[in-house]
Amino acid sequence: MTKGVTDRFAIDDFGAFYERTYPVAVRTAMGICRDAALADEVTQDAYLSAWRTRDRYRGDGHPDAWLMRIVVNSALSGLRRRRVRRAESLDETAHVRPGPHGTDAADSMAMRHALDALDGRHRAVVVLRYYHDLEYAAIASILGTSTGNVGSMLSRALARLRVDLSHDEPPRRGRLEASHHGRRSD
Amino acid sequence: MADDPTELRLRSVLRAELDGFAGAHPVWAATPVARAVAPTSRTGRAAQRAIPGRSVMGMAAAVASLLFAAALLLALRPDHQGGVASGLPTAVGTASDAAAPPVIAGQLLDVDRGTTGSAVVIQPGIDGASTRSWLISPTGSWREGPELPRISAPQDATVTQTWASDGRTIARLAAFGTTRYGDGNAIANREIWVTPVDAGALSRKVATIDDLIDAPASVWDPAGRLLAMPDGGYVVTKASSLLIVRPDGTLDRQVLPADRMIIAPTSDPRWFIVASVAGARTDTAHAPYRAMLWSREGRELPIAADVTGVLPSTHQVGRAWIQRDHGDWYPLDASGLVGPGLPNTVISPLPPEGTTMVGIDPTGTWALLGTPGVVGQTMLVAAGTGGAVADVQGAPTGTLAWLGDVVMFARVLRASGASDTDGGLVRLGAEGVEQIGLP
Repeated sequence: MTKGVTDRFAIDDFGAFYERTYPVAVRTAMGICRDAALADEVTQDAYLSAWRTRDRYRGDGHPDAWLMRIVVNSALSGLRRRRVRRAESLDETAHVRPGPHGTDAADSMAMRHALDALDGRHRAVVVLRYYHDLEYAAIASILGTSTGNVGSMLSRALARLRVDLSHDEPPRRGRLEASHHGRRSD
Repeated sequence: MADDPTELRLRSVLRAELDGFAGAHPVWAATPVARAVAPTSRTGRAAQRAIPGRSVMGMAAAVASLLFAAALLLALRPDHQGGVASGLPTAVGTASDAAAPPVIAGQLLDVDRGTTGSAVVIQPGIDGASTRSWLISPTGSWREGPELPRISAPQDATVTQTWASDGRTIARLAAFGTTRYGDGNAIANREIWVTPVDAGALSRKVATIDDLIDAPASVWDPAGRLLAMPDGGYVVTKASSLLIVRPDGTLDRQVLPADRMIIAPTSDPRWFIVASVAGARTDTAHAPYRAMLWSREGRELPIAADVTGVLPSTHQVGRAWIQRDHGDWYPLDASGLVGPGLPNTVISPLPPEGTTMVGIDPTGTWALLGTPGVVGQTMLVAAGTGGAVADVQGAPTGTLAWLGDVVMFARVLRASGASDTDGGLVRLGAEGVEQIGLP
C-alpha cells in the first residue's frame, strides 16, 4: 500500500508525473469548464490537491485514474466557485456569457452552444464518454456515482443536445427562448 | 451499439476543440504548483529540464496523451485487477465534491415563500444558461420541476436575471444590457418570462418592461425584484408602476402615485408596501426609511415606523413583517400600525448585527435566523422568546418551506479559506436535523 506513495509521488517523480499527464488533464478540464483560463486554474488546483493528498493515494490503483478523478472534481468545483462568485458579485443575478462567434462551421457552433448549455456534471460525463471513450463503470468511478446514473446522465445530456441541435442553427442571440419554443414576442 | 449522428458530431467537435488545447503550463518547473510545493521539497528533476521546443512539446503531448488515455482505460476497466472503485482513493482532497449531489446550493437563488407548505427550488445552470428546478416539501419529498430554457445575451452584453416561484409557476426577470448590475441606463430592455411548474408546459414571455427604478442594488435589492403574490402570480418590486405578473402569463399594469415605487406585496392582494423613489435613490447603508401601505383603489396609509426590513407575510399574521431599527420584527396591521404591542413579535435573540432574519413561519410562531461569519449557522427559534430550538451549520440559499415547526431549505456550506459548497436540502425542526440529497 505504501509502495505506490513513496515510489510514485516523491517530488522528482511528481514532476515527471505532471508532465506526462498534463495534456490529458488540462483537456479534460477544458472540456468541462469550456473556458481556457478556468481550465488552467482548475488543472493547477488539481495537481496541487494531488500533491497535498498524495499520501492518501493507496497505490493499489493506477495513479492516472486517481488524478482524473481529482481533475474532474476540481473542474466541477471551479465551475461552482465561478458561479458563486458571480452570484455574490451580481447580487443574486447571473450573467450569460455571449455566445461564441467567428468563422466556425454552423454545425460546430451549434454543438458548442449546446455543450455550453449543459451543466458541469453532465458535461463531465459527456467528455469522459465521448472524448476519452471511457466505459460507464469508469465514468461512474470517477464521478463517484453508479453506472445506472451515468447512463441516465448521458441520456439526459444527449437528449438536451438533440433538442438544442434540432433548431438547426446557433441560438440567435437574445432570442433563444422565443426561438426554442415558438412563442410570441411582445 | 453504433453512435448516432449526434454522438458522432459530439465526438468530432470535442476532438477538434480539445486535441488542440495545450494549456498554459505544460512544463512542471514553470507551474504554480511547482512553486507552491518548492519550499517543502527538493528542486526536483523536472525543474532542471530545459524547456523543449514547441514542436517537440506538441509531439510529446500527443504521445503522452495517448499513453495516458491507454493507461486510464486499462486502469478503469471494470475487470482490471483491483477494480475501479478499489483502485481509487476515497478520501482525496476533493472527494467530497464527487460524493455531493449535482444540485449546487450556491446556485440555488430563489425559492417561493412557503405559503402552501411547498417550495420550488431554482437551480441556474453554469453561466446562467439552462436552469433546473425542484419542487420540495417540508415532509421531505421532492420531485424535479421544469427545466427553464436558456437565455442568451446580445453580443458583448449581459443578462441579469432574478427568479421567483409562487409554487405553481416560475417567473424570471431578465435584463439585457451592458452594465454589470442591470440597473443602469444602458439596459436595452427587460423581459419577464413565466414557466408553469406542470411537466411539459412551455415558458412564456409575458412582456418587455421599462418601469424599473434605477436604485442602488445594495440598498434595495435584498429580496430580488420578483416577489410572489398571496393569491398567485408576482409583483415586480422597485418599479415605478404596479406590475403584476399573473399565473396565466399576462401582465397587469397600474400607474402608481408620483414618487412611489413598489417595495413588497402584502397578504392582502389589494394592498402593497410602497416607498418614495427619491428616498430609494438617495438612501445609503440600509438606513431606516419611510414606507406606506397603498391600495389599488388609491388609498395610502403611512406605516407608523421607519423601516429597515420587509418580509412578506404568509396570510395568517398581519399584512407583512416589518423590521424596526435593524432589530426585532413586528407584524404590520391593516391600519399601518407596527408593534410593539402587537402579538407575534419576533424577537431577535442576538445583537442586531449578529443575525439575519431568513424567514418567519406562516403562523408567526417560528423564525429562522442566520448568523454571519466564515462558518455560519442557521437557527430555528421560537419567535416569541428568541430561544433557539435547533441549528445547523451553513446558510439557506433561498426562502423556505414550512410545516409547523419544521422548515425545509437548500443549504450552502462555507469553510475557512474555501469556496462555498453544496449542502443539499435540509429539514430543520425541533426534533432534529435531516439532510436530503438530490440526484
